[in-house]
Amino acid sequence: MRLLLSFFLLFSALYGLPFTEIRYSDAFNKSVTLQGNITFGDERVSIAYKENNESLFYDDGDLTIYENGKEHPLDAMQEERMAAFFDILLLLHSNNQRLLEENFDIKHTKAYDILLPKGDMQEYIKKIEIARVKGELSFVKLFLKNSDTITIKIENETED
Amino acid sequence: MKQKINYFILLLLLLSAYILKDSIHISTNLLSLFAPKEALGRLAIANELGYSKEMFIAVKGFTKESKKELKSIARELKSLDGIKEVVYTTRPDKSVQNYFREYYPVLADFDARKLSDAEIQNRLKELYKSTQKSLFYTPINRRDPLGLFKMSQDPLFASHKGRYLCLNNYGYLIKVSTDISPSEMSKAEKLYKDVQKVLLKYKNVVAFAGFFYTVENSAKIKADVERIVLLSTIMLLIIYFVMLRSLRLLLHTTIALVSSMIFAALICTTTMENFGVLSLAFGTSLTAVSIDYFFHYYFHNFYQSGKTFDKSVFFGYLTTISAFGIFAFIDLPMLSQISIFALLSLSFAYILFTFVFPYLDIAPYEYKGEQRYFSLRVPAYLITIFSLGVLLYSMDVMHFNDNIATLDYQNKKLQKAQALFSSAQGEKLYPILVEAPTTEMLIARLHTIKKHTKRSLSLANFVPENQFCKQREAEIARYGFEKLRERTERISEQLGFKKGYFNDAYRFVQKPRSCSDIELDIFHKYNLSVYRGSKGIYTIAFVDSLKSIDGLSYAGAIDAKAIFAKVANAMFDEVLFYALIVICVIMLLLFVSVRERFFYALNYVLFPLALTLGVIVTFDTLNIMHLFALIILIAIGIDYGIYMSNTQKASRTMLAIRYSLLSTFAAFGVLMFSSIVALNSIGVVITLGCLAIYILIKGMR
Repeated sequence: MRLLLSFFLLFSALYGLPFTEIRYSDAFNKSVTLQGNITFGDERVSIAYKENNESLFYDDGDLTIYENGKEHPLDAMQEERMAAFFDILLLLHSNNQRLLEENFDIKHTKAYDILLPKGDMQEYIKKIEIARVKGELSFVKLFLKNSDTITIKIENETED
Repeated sequence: MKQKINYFILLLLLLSAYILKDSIHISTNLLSLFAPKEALGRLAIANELGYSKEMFIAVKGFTKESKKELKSIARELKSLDGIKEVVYTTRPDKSVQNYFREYYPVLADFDARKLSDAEIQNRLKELYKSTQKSLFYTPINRRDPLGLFKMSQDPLFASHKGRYLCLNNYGYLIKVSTDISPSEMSKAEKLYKDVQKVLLKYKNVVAFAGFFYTVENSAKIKADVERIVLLSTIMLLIIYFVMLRSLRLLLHTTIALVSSMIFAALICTTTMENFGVLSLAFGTSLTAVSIDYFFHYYFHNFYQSGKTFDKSVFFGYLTTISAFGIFAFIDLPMLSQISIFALLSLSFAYILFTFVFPYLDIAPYEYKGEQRYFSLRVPAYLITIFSLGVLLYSMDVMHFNDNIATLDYQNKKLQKAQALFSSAQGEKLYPILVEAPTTEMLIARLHTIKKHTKRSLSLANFVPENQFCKQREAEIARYGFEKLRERTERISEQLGFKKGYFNDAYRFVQKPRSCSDIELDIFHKYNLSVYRGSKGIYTIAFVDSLKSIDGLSYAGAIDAKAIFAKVANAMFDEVLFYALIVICVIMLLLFVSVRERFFYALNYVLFPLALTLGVIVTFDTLNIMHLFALIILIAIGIDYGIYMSNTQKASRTMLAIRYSLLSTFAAFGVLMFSSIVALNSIGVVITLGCLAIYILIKGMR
């Protein structure tokens, strides 16, 4: 398992899709921009950030974080929150219409699809905007209940 | 017309059985036969609370495939009838999440120390750092930015991998709540089949539920009992036919026995609550003992003598029913049920053989040849001394097996699965039932139990005591959150936070909800719920040691093994006490009926008892079924003792006893071929007992 994880993280760093993450904090009216590579697998996702030697590996409920090659401990709350975030990301990436419609009310606009969460998700997410290029996820913006936003732009190989 | 009376009686009984068929209740719950009433009451409430209605399924390994299987199995199980809830993650359900949110000020640890401005500044700086520098997005807790409240929950699930429940290192785990209690046979069978159908598609899956034992063991027990009953019936028919040499007589005798069984079964199963299937089986076999009344009458040509009364048979009957009459009062359901059944069936058989059979035109028995004794015959007093010696030795080395599970069919496959799931708890937790007149007292009592134990799981892990809630409310009221909010606002602005960002900080503590409003039924995911009975409120708690609740009048064990182990010694003492009364009564009746041959007759009780007990305690451990069988042995022995002591025609009496012994062996002795320990134990005792009585009739003078 550990070997598989290391391999997946290495693969992600070398061959993952480059992405940019912009976190807007309403508390300071300030944004932080992070860049790295992201790799999607079957119910798993790994992220390797460029700025620091840090990576995240999420595999269907299990989240592992590495800082300078060492596993970083997570408390249950953090893990729960992050797991929910990655579950959403994987769902958006899968483009599984049945599951998407189960979890969101979807409005199609010219530029984006707007996803309005149903059920528990409503408690922390106001809405999500997504865009795809040739069927591949290229843009995600999460509007959180506390007025923070998280924007992820993925540079797909299929993009011109 | 009078010759047909036997048939009419049977027809009447069958008709009654047909009319009363809806009122017949038979319990298949083995434990209900052994546990005392007070423990049974606890078990009934525990049943209402969902105890032993759980099912566990483990999927081997932690691979992608096993996780997929886990989810797929969970999905399929959810659609089955009889399944209430399927849990495979640690995530609390919505109602529990809401509870944690609503009662956060009371449930979380509260650091009531007053903070200086410098400390507030440091904490807010940390917040800033976490949002700007953290690897993952960290939202700011606007409700409690200074982190004064921290939720520290006891670990509720022993083992988990990420948010998935695990069975230690074995694999993923699914916990399923069902509607099925182990005693509900037809429902259990249906769900068992449905679950097996689902699991058949998956490899490396192990499942266990209490009701699996009901289904699997019942099938095995049924097959075993059918085999034994067939063997027994064939043997009995052959023996009776060889002895009686008349199909007509064989038919009448069989009808008389069947009528007696139906009579007793009808009364017991329609009037008694929880009449057990084992008591029924046992009682039915016991009816066969009454054949010795018939043999004695038949071989002594009583039916042609014109007499209406035979002193020996009457005293034999009287002594036997006196013994069972006394045992009927014992506070052990199985023993009292068997005794009442025996009382009824033997009485009915006695009436039939004594008062009905003279009208059946039975041909006299033509006696040929004499019965022979052993060449060496031992005086009665020596056998009495020997028997008492062996009984003393047995009492000294006796070890009582208090594990009820060893009596049942030993289902190795399920036992292995059960052991696997038990190991998931790490240190074993024992379920207990806790009661209180009010909810407030129930929670207070659960907290007392929590303090008394090293490890426990109960509503006390979730719900605080009312007194604690009030203290917390007072603490919060004293703290001065209004001022703290103002300081936090001021300092946060200085640090670059948006103006008014913490305007709502600590407002959640302003009106804490009262603990008496807590809805206790939301914790069912953790097998914790409450039952409101007529006498109070009940819940189940799990503790690491049952000793920790000793002396607490409001808490009692509900684990079958623990209940039985706890009551085993008391039960053993009670059986011994009743056995002593029975022996005293037998001695009195023997004295009245045989007078000068008292010790001779008493040996028919003492010697079989001593020989059987001696062999068992030397080679095995004594169990409750051995005890029951020994009581039957006493009942059989008394009759023979009286017949042999009072006989004018020893040779005919010996012949009658020999045939009775053979039929007793065919009815009970064959049980020793059973693979169920409970039945096997009876078989061994009765076989040894029959052998001992045979030795006596041939070798005692």
